[in-house]
Amino acid sequence: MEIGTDVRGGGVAVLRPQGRLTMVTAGELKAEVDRAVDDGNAVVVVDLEETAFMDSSGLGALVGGLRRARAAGGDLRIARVGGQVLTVLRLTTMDRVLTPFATVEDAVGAA
Amino acid sequence: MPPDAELHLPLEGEDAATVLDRVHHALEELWRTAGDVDEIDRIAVETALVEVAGNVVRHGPDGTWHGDGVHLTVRPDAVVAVARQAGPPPMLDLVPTMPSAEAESGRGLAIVAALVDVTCTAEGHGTRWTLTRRRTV
Repeated sequence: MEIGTDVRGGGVAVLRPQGRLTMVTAGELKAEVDRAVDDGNAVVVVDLEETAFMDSSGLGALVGGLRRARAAGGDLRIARVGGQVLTVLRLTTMDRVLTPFATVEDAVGAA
Repeated sequence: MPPDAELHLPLEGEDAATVLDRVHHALEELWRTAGDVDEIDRIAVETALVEVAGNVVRHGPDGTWHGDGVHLTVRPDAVVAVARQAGPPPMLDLVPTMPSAEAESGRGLAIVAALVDVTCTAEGHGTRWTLTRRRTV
């Protein structure tokens, strides 16, 4: 899957995975989160506007990324989720941990 | 009463990437043919079926699908997906509890059970998964 990366400065990186986040592609996202954190970006925003579908493995990659970012003193936040992704987040009650932000800027600016 | 739409998807020997890609495309075609399946039901079936298809391939002997494949039917009252795999039914808890928020895996079957009625039974020398989603009125 294509994953665009936008380093904002101040230790913030925005990742933009495009396509379906499934057992086939989840490892790629987790690797990109790890790379962003290793490069000194402890706050990682995952912009899901172009992620049309997410399965439990994709959710697992976000959870793993969240743990990695928090271990580095930062956070992982998600933004611009679509209907299917929101369904998975709500069913698993993971929307309480991975709160979806309406915009990337809201996610970047969240305390 | 004949189904609104029906589609058969042979998957024997396909790897995970191909299986999931073909499931997504088959469902797109099914929704186009049936025309009036509510988005909530479409999301439910696609999400549940991708979890089951991924499970079949992940736990197969060589990372490919063994068995016939998937048969999809849209009826006036329900959408039904039947997945057939070779070998006996896996030892699974089909009424699973959702794992803790820290867990990176283990949510797949809990998601399936929350979205559709699911059964996994022996059929001849193989296994038949049946996912039934009652359609939103």
